[in-house]
Amino acid sequence: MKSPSTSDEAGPRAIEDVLNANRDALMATPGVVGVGIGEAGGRPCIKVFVVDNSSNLAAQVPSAVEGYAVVIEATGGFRAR
Amino acid sequence: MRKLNVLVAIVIAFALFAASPYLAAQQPPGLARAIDAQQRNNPALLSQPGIVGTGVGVNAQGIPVIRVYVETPGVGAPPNLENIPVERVVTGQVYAQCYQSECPRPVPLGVSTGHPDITAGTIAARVKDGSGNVYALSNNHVYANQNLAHINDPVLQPGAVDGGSAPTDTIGQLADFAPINFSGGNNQIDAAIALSSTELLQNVTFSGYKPTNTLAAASLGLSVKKEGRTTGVTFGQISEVNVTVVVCYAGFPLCTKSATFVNQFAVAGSFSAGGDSGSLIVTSAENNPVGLLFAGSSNRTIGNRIQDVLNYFNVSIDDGSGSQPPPGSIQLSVNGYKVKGVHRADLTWSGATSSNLDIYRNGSKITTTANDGFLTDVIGSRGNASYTYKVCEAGTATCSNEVTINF
Repeated sequence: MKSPSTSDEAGPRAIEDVLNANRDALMATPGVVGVGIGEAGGRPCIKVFVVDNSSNLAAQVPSAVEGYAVVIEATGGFRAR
Repeated sequence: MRKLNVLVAIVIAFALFAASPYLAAQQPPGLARAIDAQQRNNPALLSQPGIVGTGVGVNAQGIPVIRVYVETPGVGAPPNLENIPVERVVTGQVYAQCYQSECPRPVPLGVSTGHPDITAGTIAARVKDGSGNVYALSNNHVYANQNLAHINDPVLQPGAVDGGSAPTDTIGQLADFAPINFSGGNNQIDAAIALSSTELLQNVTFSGYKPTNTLAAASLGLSVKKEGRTTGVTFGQISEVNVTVVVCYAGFPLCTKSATFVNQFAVAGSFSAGGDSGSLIVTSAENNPVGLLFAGSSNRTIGNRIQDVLNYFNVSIDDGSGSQPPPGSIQLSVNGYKVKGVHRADLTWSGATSSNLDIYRNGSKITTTANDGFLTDVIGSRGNASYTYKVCEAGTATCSNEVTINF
């Protein structure tokens, strides 16, 4: 995955691969309850679902990863319905 | 009882309308007279078979009319009552909503259901396996009580919180569920199926749409809808895919039991609420299944990908196809016997729609006969022989199965 030759030839990684590579780290951030792929400004982005906006998550989550914007969404906690 | 309640409601609604001084000022002339006539004639109208309700409205010319709601097009109504024109409206049978109460059997999709030990969730779909068994599909946490239920436990319509109890309200028995890993491992589905029957379970939602057997992949921006026990039919758009999410199953607001789900999708907005778990998420225009609703937050609803659910149980959406012979298919059976050593065959058939049928023996037409379902072929031969029969709608290639008899 990190091999320079393949990444040079293939160009930027697909957003699915970028999300997979960063998923565990994002999910381990306190206050994060989910991650996914969404859209922002007509472009695919990485969404980070958080319990609320009060925690200082913006400082702990990068604003972009490998060229894809990371957008924080205050969704609240998830419950089985 | 249910029908009566609806009728009473209609009559009361118009009585209130007539009594209100605020509304009376805006009524077209003659409306009060129409309501009086309706009320005087209601007992006689409603006692007639096939008349399921009445109402008062105005026609295209602005003239007050009495509307008579009938169950089928064949049910008649007088052209006018006390000089008030009557309009006949074919409404079909009128049922009270049963999202959160007992539905007539077979029950529709999108209504209250559950294992006796849980509150209530929603019936997603009728699914079938390769052997022709049909099942009610919902969530593990609706039908299998978060892994705690036993196979063959009853499932109810309505769910327990809506008054359901076994055995009166049983619509199936738990047949299989995907265990949920509450220990940190990844899950893909929260799903269970209960063995049911076409006598107990429809494949159409309460509001009247039928999920198709054509699945749609969850994609960003896809317009979807669902029908569920708590919020009925709602519409939304898929806002996130490839979703990983932690879902709480017990101990609100401080969660004591949670599970992680991967490969989910999310619908934004107020798409569902507690009790909608188990709703089938379909494309809003085509009713193509997309996912199985099981969780949500204040502004997101989470669904399992429906393909993952159906693959797990090795079932498909039962849209009704394949459960009955296709139109025009003719079922033939043949009984061969001898009379004094001479071969005869009794042919019986069903499913033919033409008035006459061509009868074929060993590929040759032997006669054309009335479509009365029965024919005796006096073959006239003796000894060892083999005869293959089929019947076809006269002059066409629409034929039955072939049946061979041996002597």
